[in-house]
Amino acid sequence: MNKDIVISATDLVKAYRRGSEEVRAVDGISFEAGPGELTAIIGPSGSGKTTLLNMIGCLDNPTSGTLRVGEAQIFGGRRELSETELTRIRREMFGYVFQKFYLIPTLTVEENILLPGAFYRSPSAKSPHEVMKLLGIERRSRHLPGELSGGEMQRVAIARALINGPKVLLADEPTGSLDSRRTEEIKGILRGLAGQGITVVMVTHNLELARSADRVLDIRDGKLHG
Amino acid sequence: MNVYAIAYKNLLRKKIRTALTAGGIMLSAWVLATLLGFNRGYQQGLNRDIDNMGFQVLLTAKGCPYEAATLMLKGGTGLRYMPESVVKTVFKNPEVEKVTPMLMHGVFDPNKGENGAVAAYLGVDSESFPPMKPYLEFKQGGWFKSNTALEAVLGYEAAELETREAGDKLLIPGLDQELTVVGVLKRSGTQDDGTIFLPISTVQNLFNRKGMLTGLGIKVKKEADISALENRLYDLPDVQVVSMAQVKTTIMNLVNSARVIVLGIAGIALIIAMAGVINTILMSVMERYSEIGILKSMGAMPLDVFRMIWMETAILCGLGGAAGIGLAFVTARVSEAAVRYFLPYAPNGALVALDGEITGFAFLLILAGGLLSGVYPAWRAARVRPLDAIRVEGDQV
Amino acid sequence: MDVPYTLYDIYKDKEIVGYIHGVNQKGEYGGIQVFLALDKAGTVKAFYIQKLTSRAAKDLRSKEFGAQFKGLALKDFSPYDPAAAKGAPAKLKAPSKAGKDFQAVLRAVKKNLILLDEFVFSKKEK
Repeated sequence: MNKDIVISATDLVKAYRRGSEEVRAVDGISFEAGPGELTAIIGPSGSGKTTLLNMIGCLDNPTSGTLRVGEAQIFGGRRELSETELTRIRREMFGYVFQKFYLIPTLTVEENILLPGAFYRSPSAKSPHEVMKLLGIERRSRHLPGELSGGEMQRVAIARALINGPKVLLADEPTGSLDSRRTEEIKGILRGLAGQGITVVMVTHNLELARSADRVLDIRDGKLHG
Repeated sequence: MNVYAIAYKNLLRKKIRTALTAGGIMLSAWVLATLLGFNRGYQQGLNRDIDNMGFQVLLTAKGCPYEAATLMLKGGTGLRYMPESVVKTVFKNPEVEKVTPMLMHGVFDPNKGENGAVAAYLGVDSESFPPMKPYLEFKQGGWFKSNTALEAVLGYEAAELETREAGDKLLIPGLDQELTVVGVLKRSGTQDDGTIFLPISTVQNLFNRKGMLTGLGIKVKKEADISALENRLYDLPDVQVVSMAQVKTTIMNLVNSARVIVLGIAGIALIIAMAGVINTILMSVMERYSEIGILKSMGAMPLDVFRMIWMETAILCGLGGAAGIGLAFVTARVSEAAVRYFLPYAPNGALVALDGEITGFAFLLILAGGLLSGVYPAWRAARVRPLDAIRVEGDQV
Repeated sequence: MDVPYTLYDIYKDKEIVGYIHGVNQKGEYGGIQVFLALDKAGTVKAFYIQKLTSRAAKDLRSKEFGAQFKGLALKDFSPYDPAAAKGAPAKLKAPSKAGKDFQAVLRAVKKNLILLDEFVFSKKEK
């Protein structure tokens, strides 16, 4: 594989059986992303955007197709990977950001950021102060999530996703719960992270956010459009 | 950050729920520790009361066994006699550490009450008797100097009744014989408080009972097999064996029967508390379903999640158990008062004996129960698939 | 420290007609328990020794000896000094061989009368 390619997906399919009928949420999508690239996945609701993102992030198994992330052949190899192996890949390669933040309310900002470190400490792990400074939240380190704004909470979620120094950052509707001002802030942050060499793949309904990406994947009915 | 800190902070999310669950565990720990402490305290107290008799086996002349038993616990007059030679015979047994001969004699005193009453005198050996009763201390004076002295030692209550002090005279009714009181004992809480002790040869001489005994107290060596000795003593002619080991066993059997029932109740209380733990932790897992999925997406292995949830039950049960045991210590005296009120016989001393072994055992039992209760909720949490949890977004599955 | 005393009321139908009270006293060879029955005026109606160890026990517990105390009251014992063993009512005669026990009995009687006065008769006057 070209060492400039971080993610390589070929003919990914995700099909569900509903009685005798087969429904394809993702129907043969292929794409590649290199280091420092910001890819936006857009499309109407139910088009398969999140399903695609989940497969890329090893949260879901494709029905068929191949996926390589870095040097690892994740799907489509000689054998299916176990849940433990997938978990290992997830924590070494990926950071996740969700629309609902999912911060633990009884942990401070710093403790939330350090949470992944309770389960796995990567060799390329960053210090919490480093990521807090990067995201401009170092003055809120001792606050609880309940004391933060929506934008601040999303920054904490991003910081948490970055603590183990992942190669890929996956974001599912990262600005879905935010107003336009905060959306701009997050857009700038994601762009900045891409600029530091992190491969960013995000699902978004926000066309402004999508326009800031290096590549846009327009998904309709499970297929790449255009 | 580590899973233990996460577990502890998770419990703080719903403080009232955590407090109530811990409270239930505290109560069951309190019941368990108190009952175990009572069992030990009662046994220790019983052993102490019986050991305070000084000897473990009493030989008396063959007669009514109920009267012999009365001698042991309440004091009284022996009706029949054994020859003094029995002392040598008994002492030949290897299990015997010490023996002390006794001669009880009663004199009818017509000037006691309306119809008269018996005044009892216990003849004891001045050398062997005092070491058998090391707990007897003197308020005034001391033991008589020889076995033929015309001297008396009075128990605390006997001295109070007769208004005697060391140096006063005592008159034996009917014999017109004066004795000098040489010692008054302190209160011992035993039947010795009401006893008038005379030198044994004095009693034999005064009442014409030379060479005769009514009882022989036997102290057995610590490691000796009391049952083996008793079996041999049963073969002696014209004597009967009253064993405190048997009395102790009978009483303990009764106590143990009650204990089984009460421990059963404590066990039920424990099970109910543990059911509360399962319910609380399981509810907590269901509420955090999505969050657990996110943890897994961050790289938490199933074992990590299992450990985290299991740690929550351990902390809950640890805190509740420790609080319950603390409560048992604080309420020990109140519990004792309640037991004494309801039980027909309770030995002296502390009835609820809480020590490191008892409290440690109770704590470990509570903790083990808690860890067992936590297995299912922890297993459920460990099984959560990240994608399903994220999709559900907080709904119950 | 509380010292318990037991006082008995004597009833005729529902009316108290007298009192009974006992005291302990140190005798020569043992404790002596002396009981007195008094009428409402505080006069001795009966005398009884419940317990006594003495060479003169039979005489001291006899009806004749006890009868000597009938009709006596606390005022009759006011001159009596137990320490000096002097001043007892003249009509009281000691049995032979009674020795110190006779004085012990007198002391017990005076003590009994004082206590009854304290528990009953002085309170009534108030």
